[in-house]
Amino acid sequence: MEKFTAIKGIAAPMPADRIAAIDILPLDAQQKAERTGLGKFLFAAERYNDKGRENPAFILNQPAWRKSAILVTGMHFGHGDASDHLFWALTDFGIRVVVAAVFDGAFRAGCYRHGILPIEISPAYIGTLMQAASDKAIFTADLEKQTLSISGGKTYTFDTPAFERHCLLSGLDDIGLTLEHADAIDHFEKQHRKEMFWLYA
Amino acid sequence: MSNVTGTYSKIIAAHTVHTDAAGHTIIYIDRHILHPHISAQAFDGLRLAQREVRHPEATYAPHLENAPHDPVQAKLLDTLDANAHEYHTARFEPADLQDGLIQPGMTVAGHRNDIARFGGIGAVCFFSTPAECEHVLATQTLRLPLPPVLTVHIGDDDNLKSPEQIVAHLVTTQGLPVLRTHALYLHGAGIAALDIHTRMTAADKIAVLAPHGAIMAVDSRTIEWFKGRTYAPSGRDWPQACAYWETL
Repeated sequence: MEKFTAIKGIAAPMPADRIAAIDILPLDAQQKAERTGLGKFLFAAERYNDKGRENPAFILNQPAWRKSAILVTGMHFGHGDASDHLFWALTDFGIRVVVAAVFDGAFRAGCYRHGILPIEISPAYIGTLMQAASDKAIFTADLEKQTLSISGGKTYTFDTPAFERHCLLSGLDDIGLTLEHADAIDHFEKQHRKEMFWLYA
Repeated sequence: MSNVTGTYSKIIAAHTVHTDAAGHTIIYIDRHILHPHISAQAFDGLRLAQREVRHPEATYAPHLENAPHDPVQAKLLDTLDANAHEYHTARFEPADLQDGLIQPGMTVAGHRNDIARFGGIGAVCFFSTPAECEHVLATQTLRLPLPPVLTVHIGDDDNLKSPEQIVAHLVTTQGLPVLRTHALYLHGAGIAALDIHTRMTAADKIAVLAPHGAIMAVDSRTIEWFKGRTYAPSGRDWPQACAYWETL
């Protein structure tokens, strides 16, 4: 997993509350056998018209935001069943940071597992951040300092649990975490082969 | 032979690599049975992270479903074959699974439909998501919070002859919420009286309701069933494997 330090760029405002997992990635894309190239299905229902052409009104289709790595969202973004596919689609598109006043637990946990930083900011400031995103301000999300700063504006602080912060900063996914115990696995294997030798006949 | 400390707990203890402060245990996996749909994503993930299969020789890629009629299924099987070839995983026929490849005391990872029945011969089975499949491919282990174990004694007088009767008995006496959250260990004269086929079918059916699966006590009937099977231990290994199985 790519190490997370600081992400800087124009953030895409998505002010609607309760954008569900299924609105982020349609069900048929969630059931695909592939896990790569899912970015093109992200927000498909709103992003494309009936003929599969881009809907120019949708924020991620507008020139300034086509490559946004940061989303500023309403309450409960991604609520509902958050499958791995949803996060593969977000990262494939290039999203690395999602900002909201409130996240649901499953979505927040999925973000950490897939190298996306969920930033919770007090609801009092979300309106200001949404406006700054619309005004194409430059956002900088710094996980080392746990700050979110806006060009020509304020700097906000946020909290990330110590363990998740360690994983993101070190670029550790589930497998990377286990491989921190690679010596223990090697040692176990040697013993296991000695004790249950018939498994390796 | 088997006693109430439990086959499940003994097998877990014999496969525990590490337990961390948060209560996650790294469990070593002896046999990994790939499933077309789940493993396609797992291999993609492996490739993206530029990781290798740690033990291709303990990783099996069978075609466990009948010749597929729809093109999506057919493509998945082709993908499975291509991945198996690229990563040099073991080739084998579906029948080999039943022919002693999975043995008492083993830990097995795979799709529930493919492996749940091996709880009936005393193997601990883990039903994997794509992320878990990728984890086993890369590390030959799973890292997870272990479920609590529910030990159920089945006596002669319970008079349970068929897999359906055993499932019904568990539902009535334990309730669905308990079945959903526990790993089940079944033992007693009522289990000893069942032939291996019935035990395997019962384990398979229980797993539909119990996502952590069910394991049955290992006894002389289990050992007899393995004798002479193609992939069972043979020669000088046989008595030593039997001696171990008797401690389960």
